[in-house]
Amino acid sequence: MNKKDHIWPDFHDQSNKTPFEVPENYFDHLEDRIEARIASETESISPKRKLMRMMKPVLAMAASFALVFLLVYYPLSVFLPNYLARNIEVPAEQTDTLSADEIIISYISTSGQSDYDILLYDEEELEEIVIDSEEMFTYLDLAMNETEIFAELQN
Amino acid sequence: MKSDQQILAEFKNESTKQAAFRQLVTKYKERLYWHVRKIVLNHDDTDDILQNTFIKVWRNMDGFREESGLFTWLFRIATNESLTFLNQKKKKSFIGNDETSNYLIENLQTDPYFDGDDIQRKLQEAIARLPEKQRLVFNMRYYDDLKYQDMEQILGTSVGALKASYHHAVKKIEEYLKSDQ
Repeated sequence: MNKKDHIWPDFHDQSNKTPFEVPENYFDHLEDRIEARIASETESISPKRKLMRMMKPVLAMAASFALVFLLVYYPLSVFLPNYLARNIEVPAEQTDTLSADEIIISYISTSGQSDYDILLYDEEELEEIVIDSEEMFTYLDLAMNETEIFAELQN
Repeated sequence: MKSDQQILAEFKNESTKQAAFRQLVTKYKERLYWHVRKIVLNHDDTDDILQNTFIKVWRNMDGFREESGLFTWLFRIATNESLTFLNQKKKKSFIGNDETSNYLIENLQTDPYFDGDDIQRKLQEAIARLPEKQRLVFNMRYYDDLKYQDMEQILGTSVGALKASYHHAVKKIEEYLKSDQ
């Protein structure tokens, strides 16, 4: 008994042949067409194409990294430069190679002091080291040449 | 017609390799064609998939370890090629899993090589609406009369699960045919 008889009586008089057709003589030359495709694919893969095929995943990965960098870092650096400056810490060993200006800028940006504070600080420093003219003359009077220093030491 | 063992032995010999492959294509082309055709329904798509299947067989036959039968190995490649083709179609057309059946039914309706009556068209539509696994199992069992043991090797699913899939498929098709009357 056919399986189909158990399932649907509607299909009792029909065989389980699929209701599809194929174009005339489709199967006659299938072997030739497949062999021709294999031959053409074997010829067409040059060493250069093989290399490109191997490199494709690596290049795709590099391109995706570059894209992520552009999509994340570039907008941040344009729109939030301060945010980036605050979050990028300079390792200690790198400070050896920084110029004096860079160290000052780095100090200013991380110390939390305003420019006003720094200016004020400089003025106080200047006040401390100001020498009046009387002191200067006294100092100059006390200044001795090499002979006087030698005589002083001998005494 | 040569046996699978003879074909495999001749394929290993460089001087008879080409002829052995030709024998293999001649032996299995029709069975594989109908297997693929029932999955994708359209002739042109089937032709592409069938050629790709045999090209894959040509490339990988040296690595075939004969743990499974040649026939089940060929069916597995053809099934995978068919499912990969449908998945690529889905991605290209931005269609979801639920809409795959619509795509298949459209294929069925526009196929100039469909030669069935209304009842057969309804049955094909009902099959197209099944989930992928159930559709495969139903076609293999109902049309190709494959044993569950062979299907187990082709689909990598246990016999119990295959029987359950077939049972569910039959129930769903019955429901669809009743509701459509």
